[in-house]
Amino acid sequence: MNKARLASLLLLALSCAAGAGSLAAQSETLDTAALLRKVDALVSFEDRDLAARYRIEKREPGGASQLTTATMFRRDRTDQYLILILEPAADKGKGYLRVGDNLWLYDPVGKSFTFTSAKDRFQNSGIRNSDFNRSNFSGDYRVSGSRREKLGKFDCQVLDLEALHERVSFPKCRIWVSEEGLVRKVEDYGLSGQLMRTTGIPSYQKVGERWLPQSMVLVDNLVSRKINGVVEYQRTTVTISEPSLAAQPDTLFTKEYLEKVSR
Amino acid sequence: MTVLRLALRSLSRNAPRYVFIGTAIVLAFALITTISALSDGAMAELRAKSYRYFSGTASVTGYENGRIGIPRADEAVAMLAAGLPGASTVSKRSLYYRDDALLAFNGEIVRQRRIVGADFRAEAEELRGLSLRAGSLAPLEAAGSRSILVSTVVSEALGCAVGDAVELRLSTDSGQDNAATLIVAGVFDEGSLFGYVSYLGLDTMNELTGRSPGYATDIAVYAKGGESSFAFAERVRQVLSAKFAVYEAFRDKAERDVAVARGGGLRLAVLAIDAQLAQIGDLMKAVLIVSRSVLAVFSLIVMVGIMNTYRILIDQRSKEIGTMRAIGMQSRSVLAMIMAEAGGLVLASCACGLAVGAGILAIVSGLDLSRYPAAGFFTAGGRLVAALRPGSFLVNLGMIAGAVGLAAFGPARKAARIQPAEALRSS
Repeated sequence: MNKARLASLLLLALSCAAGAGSLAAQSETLDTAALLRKVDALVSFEDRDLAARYRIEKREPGGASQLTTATMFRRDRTDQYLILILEPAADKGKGYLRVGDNLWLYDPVGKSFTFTSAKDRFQNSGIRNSDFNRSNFSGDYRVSGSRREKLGKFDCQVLDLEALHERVSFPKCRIWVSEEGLVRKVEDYGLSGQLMRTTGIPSYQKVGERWLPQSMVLVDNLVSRKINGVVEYQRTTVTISEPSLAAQPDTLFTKEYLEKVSR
Repeated sequence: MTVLRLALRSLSRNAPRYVFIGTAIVLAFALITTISALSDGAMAELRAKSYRYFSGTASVTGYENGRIGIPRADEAVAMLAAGLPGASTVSKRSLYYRDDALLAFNGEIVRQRRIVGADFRAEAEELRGLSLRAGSLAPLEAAGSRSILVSTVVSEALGCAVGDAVELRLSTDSGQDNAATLIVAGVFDEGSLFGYVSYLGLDTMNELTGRSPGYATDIAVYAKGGESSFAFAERVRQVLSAKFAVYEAFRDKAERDVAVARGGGLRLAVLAIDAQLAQIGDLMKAVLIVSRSVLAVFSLIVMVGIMNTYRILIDQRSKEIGTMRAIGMQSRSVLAMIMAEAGGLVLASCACGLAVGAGILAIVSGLDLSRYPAAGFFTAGGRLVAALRPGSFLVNLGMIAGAVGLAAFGPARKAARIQPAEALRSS
């Protein structure tokens, strides 16, 4: 075999290997992108309205707790939601209304609407207003890394995500996706790479053909205190109950509805 | 000269008679001096704190369609450094204007009114004016420093000390959450509004807020002194207007906010420190007006007392004055002599009053007012600072001298009209 032919064969072999590697990388990229879309699809209710009761308990490290209960109505196909606060009594009647990119907070005492931000905390808890939006990992983030990891009893695909735009609250996050395609854990990071929030979703409930978290625990990694030698973080526990896919009237997602129901 | 000598001799010989008047003048001058010194000191302290908080004698802030920032800040700094006589320091700052910044440590959270990203080397002299209770500024002068300077208010609320790692949480200019662990390099003595501010390095602030390295939202311009801040700010405007679009001069922050709200392309707003302090300045002026009014009423009361006492004194000295008139002293000279006596009395009493006032100031300055939050505006380390300006001293002296002069004039004129024969005949 002359040198030229040997070189050609070698070049061909190298090209095949590179091509195979590229295909594998593309395949993995496609897999993770597809996984993100699956994650979003499993918890989105594009064709139905969703309503549920939220119980949100914030607990300071070693200290007092604060309870909020609310009813949430969500219409994913139009990016709308309405949240009505039921407890505590001091906040009863307050409401949040999201229509597209606009989010308002209604104060029944002053009978006024205030423009607020999706990045703000919901009722001063560990939840952000944006956490009530439909899941959109595939539209908001790109995958920068992935690996497999066991999380408790779940075999998970761990995806490192970087924001595609500045409309999300956290520019970086890491999600643990179980084999069913459900997110079990989320770590949210700031621009500096500091871990800011950890969310655990131990259980889901089936609602129609989709899934809704049954309980979530959000830990604020920046607010902590050492108590008896143990570091305790500020923790918000969310329990979601009474889910319903009953159709809601269009008038529900309006300011007038909030004003009327708060009376 | 003879009249003056006579006046001084008469003053010394009649000293026991002037005890009441002298005491009244001593107390009045001590009171006026104390109030003036404390007012001047309070204003001086407020201004010193304000320079650091509000970015200098004149602060330059860039606005462009609702965003705050000065894209060619280095060029603006160079223009001011080269073309502004009377400026002691020109320095970039990167300020955090939003109200969502907070510091967390050991489970405690304190919201921050303002976070200042400063060039600690350029503003070294001004920032050294911070009264450090612990730590030093040195770590903040290093490039890329991950240190922070907090106030005693913050330190006590969080329970943190020098060397502790605190979490600073804020949002980037695009609204995303961010956080950093910073080491407390120093704790400065401060309460009130100025206590809910922290200082860190310019580069660190830019990194945390997603701004580019070297970015500035403001330029702090400090004057050497000797001119009004409004005049200085106007000179800053003139220098910058050569290469930048600059807003018109503003009398206060409200005017600036109205102008900025109109939006538009990049324009620089120059605000004098007195414009920043317009509301507090109005409050202080009101306090000064009230205190001066009280002093004026007090002076009036003292004046009436002095006038009555002088009348009695002149009556008691009528034979003496009659004798002087009989041996040839003119009535003008009698008037001048008695007024000169009053003048001498004022000078001597005011000197004593100054000493008494100094004693009162020493006592009052020792009182700890730190438990009163509003006192933090005007105090250093919780204590009032006395600062008697020469101008204030002369005004006070003039006020007392005027009051005594007015009080003595009537009786002195009466004394000048004494007929020698009648005076000598009376027993």
